[in-house]
Amino acid sequence: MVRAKVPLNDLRHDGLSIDELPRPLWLFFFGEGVEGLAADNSPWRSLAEEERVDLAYCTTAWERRDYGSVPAWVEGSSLVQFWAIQLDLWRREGRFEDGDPPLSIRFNAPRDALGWKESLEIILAAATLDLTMLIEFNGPAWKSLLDAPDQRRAWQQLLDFELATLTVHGLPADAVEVRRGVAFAASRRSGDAASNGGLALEF
Amino acid sequence: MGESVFKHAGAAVSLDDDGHLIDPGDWSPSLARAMASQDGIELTELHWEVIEFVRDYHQRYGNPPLMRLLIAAIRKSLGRPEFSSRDLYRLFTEHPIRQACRLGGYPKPDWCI
Repeated sequence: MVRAKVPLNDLRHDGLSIDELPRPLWLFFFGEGVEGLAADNSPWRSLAEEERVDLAYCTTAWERRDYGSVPAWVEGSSLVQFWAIQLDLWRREGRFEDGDPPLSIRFNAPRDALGWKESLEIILAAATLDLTMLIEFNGPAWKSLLDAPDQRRAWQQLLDFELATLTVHGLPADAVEVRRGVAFAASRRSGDAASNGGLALEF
Repeated sequence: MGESVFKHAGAAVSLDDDGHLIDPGDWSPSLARAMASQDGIELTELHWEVIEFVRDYHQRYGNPPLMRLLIAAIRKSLGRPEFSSRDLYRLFTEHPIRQACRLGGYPKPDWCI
């Protein structure tokens, strides 16, 4: 998943550059990531023309940014489809021996309202497919979410319907508004999905 | 399709490009029944369960519910554990959540979930 505007040559995954990543390769552009596709002379086009490489973009993220017509070399897709493909990959890799591999999402930095909204959409799309999720915030990121009232109330659905486990690190519980169902931990980090065979996303 | 007007009870209600109310404050049960009738749907008690859940959820969280949450809620409220997405699509033959938003007076969901 490409979530930020990043030059083609700077994209890295598991420490590998785009040329080193194994094929077949399916790249899904979401949020600010779709911006790189919009330029007339987008460098991603040459990658899309490579055999066994497919580029897909989130149609909602594209429409939200009003970029106009979509390049013919990239396919429209959705967050749910992204997770469905990820789950299929996990199954083929045999990562389901002890149930679903957990998805760990960590928020290290404050985000703006659209950033929080699109982050929540990633999580809700995963929840559609019943993925187990551990969501962790550091203090400033958590405060940034609390400071965006519309986003804060939207995130509450994760707790009310037990769609994910939320933990805030590095803040005493009485330093912020305590939300029902949120755990507070003084230490920096608790679970590590990647080490358990799952996927970790960092924001 | 562009913005349009839906005439109901002597008033003209503005709809957006997708047929959703521009002003959710225009919504009423009677308007929902009239819009549903135009879609070829006669709203039953079960339709109303869905619409009311979607409206409550939207009001609380600012977005519509995931379909799996809606189905779980209907199963619980009606005591019908067999209720499924297939039943939901029988009630609302377009995309059920989107159609329930429309008949419930809320905008088209602006996401691809």
